[in-house]
Amino acid sequence: MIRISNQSNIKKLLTLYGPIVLTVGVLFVFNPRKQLRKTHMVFFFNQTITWLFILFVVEKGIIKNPLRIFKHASKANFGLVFFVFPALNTLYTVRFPEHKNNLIKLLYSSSFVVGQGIVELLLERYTELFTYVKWRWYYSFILRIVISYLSRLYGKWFFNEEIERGEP
Amino acid sequence: MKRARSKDRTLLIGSWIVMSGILFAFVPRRNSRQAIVPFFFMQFLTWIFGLIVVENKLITYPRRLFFTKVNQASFTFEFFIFPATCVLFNLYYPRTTSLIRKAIYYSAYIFTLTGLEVFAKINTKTIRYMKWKWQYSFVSMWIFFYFSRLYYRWFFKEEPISSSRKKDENDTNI
Repeated sequence: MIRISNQSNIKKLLTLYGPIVLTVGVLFVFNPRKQLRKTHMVFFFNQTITWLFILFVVEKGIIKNPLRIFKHASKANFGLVFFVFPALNTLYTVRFPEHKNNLIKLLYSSSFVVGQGIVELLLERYTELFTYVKWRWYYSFILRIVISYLSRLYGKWFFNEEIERGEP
Repeated sequence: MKRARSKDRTLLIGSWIVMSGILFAFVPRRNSRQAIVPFFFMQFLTWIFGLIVVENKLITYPRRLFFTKVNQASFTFEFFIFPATCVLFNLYYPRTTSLIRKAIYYSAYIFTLTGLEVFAKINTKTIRYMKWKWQYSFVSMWIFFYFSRLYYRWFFKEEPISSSRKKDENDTNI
């Protein structure tokens, strides 16, 4: 029998798997079916970045993840970092209003960054999914801005939407 | 003791360097998109699988190179070596040849990887089988390679094998 976590407590189970189930629902509703390939590529890209980053940050003891799936195998929070945050970022990238004006783009981006940031803060305060040790809340905001921008650049590059510098 | 440790490090660092060299030499720049797809896909699979395997203590990796405190799983193999091998596997896959040749192609990759793993297991402390056998590695790699093929074909909308055989296509030029 495959043992994924040894949490038996219902509340802990909810905290662990609730965000994942919620995100699956969100993806199911909002993800455009026609752009499945783009979604996949952007998702994988985001996953790699966030996973590498969290490994680094947890290794240095800047953030701790007391409650997590794969308790023995990895000290980094698998559910959130491997799935929830990359999935939300993917949605952001795929749904980006490319043809609207700058104000709408700005509003769209900031609502995503602020929304995710607030969720993260709430999770930090009320659950044990992660604990800031030497981390500041505004690091998260800056990081989100950078990652979402990179993810958009990557999506554009991969699918050649804007060829500014020619073929790589 | 100290010498053993340096041997492990040499193996791990060496595999990073050798694999980067192989990628650099055999993946043409114009194919970078085709290379990224199987790389990311394989990473996705091996991370989950690697974590499950380590969590259930089937394999341990006593000596690791990166993220030693955080990750009990093998970052080097799961993050880089196996996905990179998968890139080569997909780019040079002989789509238009017979089934036997394809089987040989599969076996060549999988035997090489499994062989290296067993070599590392015997000679270094980078990997230790707890409740694991090399046969399991063999079978799981075969399945993963097959999945990566399926995914690659879906992603690039490759035609079924029967119709693509008529055309004279180059493997790396899709």
